[in-house]
Amino acid sequence: MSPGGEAGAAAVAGVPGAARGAAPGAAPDVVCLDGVTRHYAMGETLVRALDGVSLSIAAGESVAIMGPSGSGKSTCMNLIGCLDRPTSGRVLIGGVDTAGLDDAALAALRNRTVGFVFQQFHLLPRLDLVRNVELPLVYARIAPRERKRRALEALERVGLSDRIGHLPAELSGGQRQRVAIARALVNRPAILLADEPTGALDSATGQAVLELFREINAAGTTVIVVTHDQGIGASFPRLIRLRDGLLEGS
Amino acid sequence: MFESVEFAVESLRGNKLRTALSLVGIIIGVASVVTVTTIAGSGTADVKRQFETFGLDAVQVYPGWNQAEGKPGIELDAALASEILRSLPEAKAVLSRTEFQGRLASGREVQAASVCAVEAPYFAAMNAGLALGSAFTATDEYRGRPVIVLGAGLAAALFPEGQPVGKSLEASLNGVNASFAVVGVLAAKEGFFMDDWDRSAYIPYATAQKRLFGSIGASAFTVVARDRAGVVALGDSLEAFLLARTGNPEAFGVVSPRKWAEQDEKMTKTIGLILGGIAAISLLVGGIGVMNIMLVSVTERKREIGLRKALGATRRDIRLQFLVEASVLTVAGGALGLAFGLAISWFAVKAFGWTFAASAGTAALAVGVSVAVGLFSGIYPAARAARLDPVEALASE
Repeated sequence: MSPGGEAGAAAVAGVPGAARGAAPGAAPDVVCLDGVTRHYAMGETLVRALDGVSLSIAAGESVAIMGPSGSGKSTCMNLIGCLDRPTSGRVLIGGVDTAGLDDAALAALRNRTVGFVFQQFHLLPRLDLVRNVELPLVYARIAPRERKRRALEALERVGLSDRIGHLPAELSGGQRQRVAIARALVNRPAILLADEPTGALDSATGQAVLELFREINAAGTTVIVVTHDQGIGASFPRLIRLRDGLLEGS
Repeated sequence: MFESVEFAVESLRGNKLRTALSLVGIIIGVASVVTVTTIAGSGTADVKRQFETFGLDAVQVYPGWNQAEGKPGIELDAALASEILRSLPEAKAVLSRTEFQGRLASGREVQAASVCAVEAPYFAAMNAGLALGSAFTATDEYRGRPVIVLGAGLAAALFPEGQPVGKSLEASLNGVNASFAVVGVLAAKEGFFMDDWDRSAYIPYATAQKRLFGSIGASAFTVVARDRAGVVALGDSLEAFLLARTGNPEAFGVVSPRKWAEQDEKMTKTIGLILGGIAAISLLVGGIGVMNIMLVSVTERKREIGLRKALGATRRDIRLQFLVEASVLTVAGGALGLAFGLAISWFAVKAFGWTFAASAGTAALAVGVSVAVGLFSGIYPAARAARLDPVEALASE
């Protein structure tokens, strides 16, 4: 069984509704947004970042979420990544409704279920690659020896086994993004959630990163990429377009 | 927890100069705490030792000098001694003492010495132990035997070959010559005030009176207290008694070492309080410095905090990280402060001529204080860091 599938199963375990609700044989939804709104007060004005979005993403899908800036795609990503809660509507991640969770439970859900990849990599400059990749396992309270083993495994998976003693500053942009991907995968999440992952890379390196995403998806992990780039969006089997806080076409 | 300490050390190493500067206040604060406690501890121990050599359980009475009449302000005679005993219930005994200057000779060696005529209980009252032989006995005193106890230095000078006990000495005291048998040698004893124990010799008061000089007045009384606790009160009532009798505070002197020791302790405490206050202020300032640096650090590392939250850190994890970081910072400062404080107090104590007495309690105090300052100054920045919204934190530059 693939690591992604294993974690996905673990994530929905204990949440009977998520598994039982799916048709027999069909993959259960790992992401389910139901009538979700997210409003912010910005000074006097109310910003309707998301204004009633319903969508679901099944386990094992590979999806791009697209839209121009201000379309709500970042807000959507934050909700899927359990970094934020909706103003109204329901967000189910791995079958768990995030609305009812306190800070610690939300952090734990994020830790187990979602692996983040950012445009600017967000590696900690003073930690070497292994220590960077280990971080999610620190917060998962995994023992140091097991952490190291899993970090090395994840680095091998992204093809960086030969650079393990290095600091992030000693790597190229593409290599740094691979470290970030290894970090995202190390706790075997159900969802790999990437925010403009190729935005800081040249196109050849960007293509290599997208190829890596395809491999990861083929191994069973749900991949969700948020981008404003038409070309990248088009390369995904499923494309969700947002505009003005709504699904395009709705 | 271990990770937190590791992370803290990493992040502090990243900003060495800033870390060092922010520690100055803590270093000064802890160094002053350590210096104060060490110097006060060493000083108290030293003063106590000095007073003990003088005999803490007795009070000395000396006559003053009446300049108008050209004679001692008070006569320390047997009548006064028995009146003191009758009037002051806290007094157990009044021991007379008289000093003579003279020369002692043992075969080839001759030494100038001050020879004190004392009563046998004097040695115990003054905390003077015997190294060899014994002190005079009641029979020696009763019979007025010519026996002598030597101070350690004097014994070594007169009998360089050793074995002084049982040997005889020729003494010339105020023009009177006499032979004495050495019965004991005192243990080496630090001098204090006007006594030089090592260079003195002691003969029975009764012997001086009966055999050598006839009736003599005492040059000092040693008044022994009935019990230890009452010795300060005894000093006070002696003063009141003698003042009532002479009507002149200049006519006599009362020296109460215990009272001095207590006054000294009080003064040490007061100085300790003042210096402790200074230390507290520098620790407060140091704590504010650390709090400031932690707040800067939280602001600078918003993205790191956001990232850690995205990777699954709870508020508690973040709070713990910054609390540990502040504590690691202050404990490092505390360790440096401890080292500086010990160094400063070592030099100070040597300069005062005391014995250096550092205690494990001081080190524990330094560490405890620095952890407390770290926690105190870390709480607010850590709470701020923990409260950060991960979305905003990740988006910040």
